[in-house]
Amino acid sequence: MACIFHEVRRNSYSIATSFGENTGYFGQPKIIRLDQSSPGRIKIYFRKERGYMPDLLNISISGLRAYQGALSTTSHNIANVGNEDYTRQRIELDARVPIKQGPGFFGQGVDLSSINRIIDEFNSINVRDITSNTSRLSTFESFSSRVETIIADDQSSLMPSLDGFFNALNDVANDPSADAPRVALLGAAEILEQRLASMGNEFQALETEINGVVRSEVSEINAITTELARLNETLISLSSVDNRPNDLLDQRDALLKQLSEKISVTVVEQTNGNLNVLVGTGQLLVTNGTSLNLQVQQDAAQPDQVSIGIQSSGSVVDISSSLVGGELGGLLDLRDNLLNPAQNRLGRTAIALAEEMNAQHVQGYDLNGNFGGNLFSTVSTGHLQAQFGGDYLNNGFDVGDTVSFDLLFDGRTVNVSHTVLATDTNQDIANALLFGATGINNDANVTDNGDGTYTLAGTAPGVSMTFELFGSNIQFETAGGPSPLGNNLVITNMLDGVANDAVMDLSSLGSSSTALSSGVVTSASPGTFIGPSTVAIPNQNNIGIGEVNFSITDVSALTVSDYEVTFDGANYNVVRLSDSITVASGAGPFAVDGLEIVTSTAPISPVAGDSFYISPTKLGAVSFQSLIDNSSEIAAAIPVRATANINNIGSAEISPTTITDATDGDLTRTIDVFFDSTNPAGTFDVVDRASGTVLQNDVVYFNGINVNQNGWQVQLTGSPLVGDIYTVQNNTNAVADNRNALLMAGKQTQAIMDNGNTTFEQSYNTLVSEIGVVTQQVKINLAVEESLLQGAIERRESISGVNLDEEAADLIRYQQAYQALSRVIQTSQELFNSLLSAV
Amino acid sequence: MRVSTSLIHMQGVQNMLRQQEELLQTQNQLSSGTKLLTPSDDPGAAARIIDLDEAISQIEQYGENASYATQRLNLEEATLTSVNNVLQRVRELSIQAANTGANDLQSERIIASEIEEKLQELFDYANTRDENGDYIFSGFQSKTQAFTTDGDGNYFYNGDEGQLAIQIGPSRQVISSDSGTEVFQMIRKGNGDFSVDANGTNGGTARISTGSVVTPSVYQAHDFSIVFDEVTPATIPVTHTYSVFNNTLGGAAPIAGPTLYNDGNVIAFNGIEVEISGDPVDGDVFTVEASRNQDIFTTLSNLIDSLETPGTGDVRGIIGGDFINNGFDNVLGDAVSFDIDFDGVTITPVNVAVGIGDTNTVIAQSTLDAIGLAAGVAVNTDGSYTVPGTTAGVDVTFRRVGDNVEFITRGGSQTNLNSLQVSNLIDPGLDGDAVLEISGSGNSVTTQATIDAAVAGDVVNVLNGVPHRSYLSQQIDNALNNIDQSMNSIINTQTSIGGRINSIDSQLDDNEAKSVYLQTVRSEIEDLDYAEAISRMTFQTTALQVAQQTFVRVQALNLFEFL
Repeated sequence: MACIFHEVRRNSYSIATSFGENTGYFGQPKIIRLDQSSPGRIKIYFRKERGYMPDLLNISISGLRAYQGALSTTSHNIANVGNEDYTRQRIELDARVPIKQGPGFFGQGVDLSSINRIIDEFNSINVRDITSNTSRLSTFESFSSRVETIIADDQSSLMPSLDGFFNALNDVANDPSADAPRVALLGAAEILEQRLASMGNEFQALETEINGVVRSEVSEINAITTELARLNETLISLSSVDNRPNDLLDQRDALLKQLSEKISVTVVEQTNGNLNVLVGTGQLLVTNGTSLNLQVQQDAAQPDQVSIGIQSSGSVVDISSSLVGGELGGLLDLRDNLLNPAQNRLGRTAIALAEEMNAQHVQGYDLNGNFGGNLFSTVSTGHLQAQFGGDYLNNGFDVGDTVSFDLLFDGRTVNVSHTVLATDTNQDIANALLFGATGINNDANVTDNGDGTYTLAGTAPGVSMTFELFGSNIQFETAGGPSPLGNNLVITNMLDGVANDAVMDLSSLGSSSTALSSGVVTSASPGTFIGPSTVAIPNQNNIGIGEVNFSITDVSALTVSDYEVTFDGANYNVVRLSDSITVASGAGPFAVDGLEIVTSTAPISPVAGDSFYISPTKLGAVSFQSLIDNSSEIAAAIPVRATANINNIGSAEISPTTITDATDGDLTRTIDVFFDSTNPAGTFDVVDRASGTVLQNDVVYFNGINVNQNGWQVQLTGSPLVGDIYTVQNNTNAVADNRNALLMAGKQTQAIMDNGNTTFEQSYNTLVSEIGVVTQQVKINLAVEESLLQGAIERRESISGVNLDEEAADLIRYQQAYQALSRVIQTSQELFNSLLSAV
Repeated sequence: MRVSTSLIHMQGVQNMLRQQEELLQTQNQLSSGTKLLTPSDDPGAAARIIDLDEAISQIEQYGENASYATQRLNLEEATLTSVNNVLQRVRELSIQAANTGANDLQSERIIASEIEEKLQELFDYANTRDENGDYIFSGFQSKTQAFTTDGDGNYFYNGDEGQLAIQIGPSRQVISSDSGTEVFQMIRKGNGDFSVDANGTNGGTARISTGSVVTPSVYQAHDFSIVFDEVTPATIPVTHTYSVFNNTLGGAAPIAGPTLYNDGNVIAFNGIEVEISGDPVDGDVFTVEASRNQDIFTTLSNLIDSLETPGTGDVRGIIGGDFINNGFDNVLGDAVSFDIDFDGVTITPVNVAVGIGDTNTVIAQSTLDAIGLAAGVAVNTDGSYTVPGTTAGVDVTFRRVGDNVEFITRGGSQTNLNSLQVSNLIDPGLDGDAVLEISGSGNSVTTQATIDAAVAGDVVNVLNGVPHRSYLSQQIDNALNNIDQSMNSIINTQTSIGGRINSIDSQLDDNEAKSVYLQTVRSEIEDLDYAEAISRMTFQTTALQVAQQTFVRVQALNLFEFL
């Protein structure tokens, strides 16, 4: 017997057999089985049916069943008209296979063969992708608008307080001897500190908030993926070729859309109903019935930020950098590309302001005739505290030894020595080392403060180191700074007579993080105390124990970038993260972009792969502090003044002094520029009045000559005559000298930052306009994406949305058909009755 | 395109939401009055506004600075005007003093005391304080009093040469003060190039004029002395020569002269010309020095001293006459004696032995020698005798000039104005009729011209000196020069102040114009165009209403309504 298989639709065949009229077998196959006894053959069992008469009843019943299903689907559609995630379902009606009877094939009715979702899968992908973009931009925009408010609002912007500070400086310059403007200046400095601190704190608060939001986003994502996995499992078990649980599919799609609001995902659908969800650079988030949780952890490089990781082949992989899109992507994007750069920029302005003001202030004289101190402090000043000493007598300080060593600090070298006497105790030795004839106090740059402490002035303005006894140890502490040369003290060149076995113990003090290259100083190895400056953050995954410190040495070269120092086994590499350029490589220390980066030396060493993170300016605003609280300590004057002798016959004039090197120890000595009669004509001598030493001999005079001495410079113009004297001396009682205040006020209009290209105000302006530009771009992009999203949703609605009018029409149609079929059943019943009554 | 029911709803809602958002934006703009609500609305404009605000704020500050500077300069200017007025008055007084009568010590004292008051006034002006109590002429040391005095005519400046610079523009500073040194001390003496003076010990009546530099290219700022020597052998009338010495270079040899002196001679050397007029005496010295600085107080103080000091009152006179016809018998041999009293010293007795047949000349010489013998002093190299008085530095010199004995006092004794008494003329011979004629010359005043031995009792001739008018005149001349120099200096300073105030004004004008411009630009960038915004708002309100109404209409259309 031949079986003819007709394809009804894909994978669906109806079978017709070519029965002869006489076989008596016809109708639909009842069961189809594999023939167990003969492989490759199938057995088809037919229902025995007899009779010519078309089966009205069956046909009607098939129709009724079909239209019942249609009506229920339609009502399902209508019920879900308000369900956004719903895709409308349409029924498929198929006519049954006709049967040949007599003259022709008689149709057998209709079946409701399937209920299908009307959906465009590609549009779904589109919608998800655009949704990811839109929510990323929208999240970004909402936070960046807040950043805008922090920096640009009239009340909260930095400019009024910055202008106020410089205006107050101008007022002091106008009337330097009056107290009121000085007090006002201190007030303006306070306001500046508060404004910067407040802005810095708000940024930090935003950072903390973002960390929190990230955490909650991640836990929501994890909840969604768990749900997706469960749905996957259900769908896999329920799914078959023809009949797919449409509403569950809708549910899964809805979850996917929710997920894509939070993060960009790639979805791969499989035939068995499984859906793989991938994230980042291809990490599987959901597959089959399992979901992998995203984890929020401390960022390995920057511990105050969070990063997101995922389990991957046994370890947690940080995928933060590859997470894009969605709210999560927007948050990370904002943090990395808006918030951190904004903090760096603001911090840099604060640091530059502090350093520049300090640098000028310490060159001036205050009302008491003392050099000014630091006006502001910011980030770390590199305060170093430590001591050296020990049990000298048992440590190789033998009677008769002359022990000598050099102390190196901030460009100064102090040579210390002591010849050990038979009567010396450890205390005697310590005393001698500190204030003996050849001790520390002997050096020209060391002053005896009269209270048992001795201060060594460094070469950098304001930087100093103070020594004092502590038992038989000599303690020291730095002030001011950081020194451009590093706040380090090195004890070197230790010699003692023949035996060369003298040893001194070193130890660090307090909570400052000093690092020693060795615990003792011997003749062979110098001892180094490294000033804390600021410690670069070692990556949490570092294996070695190496340390990297940095300090800011040149604010005009500072950038707004962060840096990473990595060790490749042989060399350190310093990478500037804004443009990923390696700016330095080697053993260190490095001087790049206004930073001094100091690497630790053996045995405090790193291992290949170790890295350190440097964020030099980020905390500049929050750590900005105003230091002076006494109005007379504002240094408005310049330390030296120039005068022409009243008895001069000539008509030359001497200009006011300018300071070229405020650190010169002889700055305030009285110096005479003397047109000596014993000199050759037209020449002058520069003489130290107190000692009579001729410092510059027979200098040829010309109109406009600059005379430099002891760190100051003056200019002589006009025609001097023999015997004329011009004097530069200590500027005592100069309460109305405003020259230093003028110089400080003038910094407002000087281009100091960015290697001499921008003023303070312009650097802040760049911050505001950058944030403005980025936010504007985001707003524009958001508008575009929103309209794209709108279009994609429209398309989705067009295909999958329920139209009530359409459903209403269908309702009418199916209802009519149902009613008609009921009539057919009634007719069939009447026919049967008439047959019965005929018999 | 097929449209679903929820799409209709969604679009309607979206439209309304969008309208509302735009309307809200417009509302915010209207209530704040600015186009820019956040930097992201227009980052470029926001950046410009920050720049403009900064510039405007700076200009305001410069304006404040400038007004500060102007205040100080105004105060200084007013003070200097007062100072000049004082100096003008002193000038008038000095000229008055120069014109008073030869012996009018009283008027001179009155003038001196008024000048003293003016000096005090000047001193107070120099120590002017501003409203904060700062001394305006102390340079940088404004809490220290600018000038102090020790009461002895010495004036000290306690400030420095600092000048307060004030920033009035981005790259402009104006000096808002002048130091006391500059204003009151750095005043050149004399004519600005050199100053002249007569030595206080000069006996003659000569004066030296102010002089001037005629050939600047030759002029060197050196110090010179012009020394007068009497021509020997003595002539009648006495003549002198002068020699010019360069004291700066030193050297014993004069650089000019000896030249015969004539009254009103123009003396030229070193590219300058000065004039000496009057009668100098031997040893008179005049100085021509390169101008030093002298403060104004010292000038006035010296003037007062000169006025209050009557002068040296040197006396010049002749003891003599025609001896032979005046009773000095040279036929019998007379022995005449007399006494001379001078400054507490009595030269006694002066015994003149007249030889038989002596001429007047011989008798004069004998008289001279007798004076010297009686005084017990040594003879000078030129044959004169110098008798010191009891007051240190005071002496009288006797010499023979022709047939007379001439005497000149030196040194200036104020107690007795260098008076010389001749008394106790005794002619022991038979006739007792010797007569001495005594006459003063120059600045001497005699009370009696002759002493007659025959008259019963001694007749005392007192020769009084009078204030050395020529010395006082010289000092007043010098003082007038210095006062003129001071006034010029102060006028110069005032001119400079005026210039500075002008430059401040012009800078302020600049700033003002700039500020207006900046404000305009800022307003253009930031300010809202109300007309446009309000009409926009009307439009948007209408659009929103339309959206709302159409939404309601469309939502009502549904097939189910008709089932």
